[in-house]
Amino acid sequence: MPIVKAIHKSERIVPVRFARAPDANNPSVSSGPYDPNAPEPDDRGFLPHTTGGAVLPVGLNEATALAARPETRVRLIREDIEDAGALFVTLESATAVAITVPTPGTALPNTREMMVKLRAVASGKTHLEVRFGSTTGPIIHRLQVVVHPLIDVRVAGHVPTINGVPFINPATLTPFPAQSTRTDASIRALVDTANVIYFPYGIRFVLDALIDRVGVLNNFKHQGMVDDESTEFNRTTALNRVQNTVNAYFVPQIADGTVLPNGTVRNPINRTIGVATSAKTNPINFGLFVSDIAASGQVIAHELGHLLNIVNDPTNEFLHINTKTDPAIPGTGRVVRDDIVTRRRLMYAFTSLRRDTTPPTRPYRDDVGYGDRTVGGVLTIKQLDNDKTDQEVKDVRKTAAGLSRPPGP
Amino acid sequence: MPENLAISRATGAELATVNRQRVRIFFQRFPGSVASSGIRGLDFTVTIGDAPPVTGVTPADGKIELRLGAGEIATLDILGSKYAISLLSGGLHPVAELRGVQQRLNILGYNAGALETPALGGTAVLATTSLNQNQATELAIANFQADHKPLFIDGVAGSKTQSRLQQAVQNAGGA
Repeated sequence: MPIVKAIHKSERIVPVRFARAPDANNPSVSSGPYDPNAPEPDDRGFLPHTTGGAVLPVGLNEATALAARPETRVRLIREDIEDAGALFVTLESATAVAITVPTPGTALPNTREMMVKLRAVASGKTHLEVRFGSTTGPIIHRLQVVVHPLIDVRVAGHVPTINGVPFINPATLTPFPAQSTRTDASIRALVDTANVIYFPYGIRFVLDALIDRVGVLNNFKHQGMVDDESTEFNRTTALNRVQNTVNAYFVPQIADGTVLPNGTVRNPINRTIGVATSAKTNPINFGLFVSDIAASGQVIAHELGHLLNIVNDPTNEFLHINTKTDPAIPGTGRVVRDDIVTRRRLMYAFTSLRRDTTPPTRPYRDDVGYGDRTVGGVLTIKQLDNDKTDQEVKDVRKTAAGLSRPPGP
Repeated sequence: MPENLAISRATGAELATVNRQRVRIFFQRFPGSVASSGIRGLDFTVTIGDAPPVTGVTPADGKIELRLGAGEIATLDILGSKYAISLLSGGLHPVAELRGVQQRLNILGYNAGALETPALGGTAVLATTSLNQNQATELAIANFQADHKPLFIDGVAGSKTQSRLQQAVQNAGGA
């Protein structure tokens, strides 16, 4: 069956595009959990063309022998071309990555979705080229590939005891405990998830072998609770601090002391799941907190992003979840970022997605490629004229490089 | 502008006037109307009706130009694919409608997917409210906004985005 085109004067046909490959073997799968070897191409817009369209981040562990390095995968999708066309992938330069799938020199399968796998060779950049007809045929699409060698960042874990007035949890009618109930294993699991998200960007967080559980903080306002908008934040980050290192504090609750317009203080219970300050702008007392209600490693990954100096929103544009109309901003040009591209960012302001409830609902927005109502793990690489969330990887790697390394063996 | 060409019909000696319009198709690496995105060197064959096939190779901007009359279908063989090309009858839908936005994004190569039917909101007038029905359309809008400073990127085709979209299609020779 031919592709039918009813054209009004002109049309631009872009035959193929690249997309994240959540499944290791099935290129038809479009959604799946965070995976260090399934990075998302940064495909926000297509200008400037000097970037070669989308950009794919690839992590490189130089301590692993070349043949044992994992394969990074990406899907190629025939968007406006039939399956019969013979497509090949080549590299502009083979110094940074090698193509492992398909076998070099052979055509991609005649299917709508195809899998391409790469193996990191060395730090650097190249372009993955899609060619028609042969390995020397016309280039019909390009993907820039950036290989990031790992930067190890030391993390000192703390589970402090926080003494203060007992605060009754209305759900259990018992006070919150003075100390987080997290085990060492569960803390390591959170850091492991963060490392899954950060691998393509070449950052690895290494948690100290010993997690500090002996620190005690007295005379806090509430037992087991840190008010991050008071001196309690800095008092905590000074506790058993390891200088120039990521000090991560695991606490039962983080209070939200925001004063609402009616003068009351926002309910402090189960509201804030994590908070962090930048190592770049707060070099003396930077640190991060994760509360016991944080269930996902994505939370610590997000807060580590803050610690490495990237923000939710450089221009206060992320004001709402699923906001469809904003009476305060009539007409167009709403100051709201909640598009599905934004929802794929690790630094999206919210750690879970809510369903649309006001008709017309948009169920397609519930899964942006990481599972139902799951925020993505994307750090931006491209520089665009029109998006202030640019070049997060550059900032993160620069900040990480200035922090201390894990102790040697 | 359409060209009025006098052609000799096989059915008789009389001359008929057929309104033929120029159609330009650009094969590109990326969406938008930047010439450097063009795919050079693609062999193609165009067949219109009983006329002998015409062959060619795409130039640097990836452009193939055809002249079609109403009801005519050109078969374009390129990239191992066949495209059945015809003139769009009735013109474009209003840009204020969802399907009008989708049409224009597709013209520019942003791939907004199939046009929504009226029953699914295809004719709904877009304002501040997002009435997108699928990820392809929302992605296409967001990518178009990212490429067209100073549009705000929100995946919603409000009046500023609509205006810029119409302008971009006009500049690309589309409407």
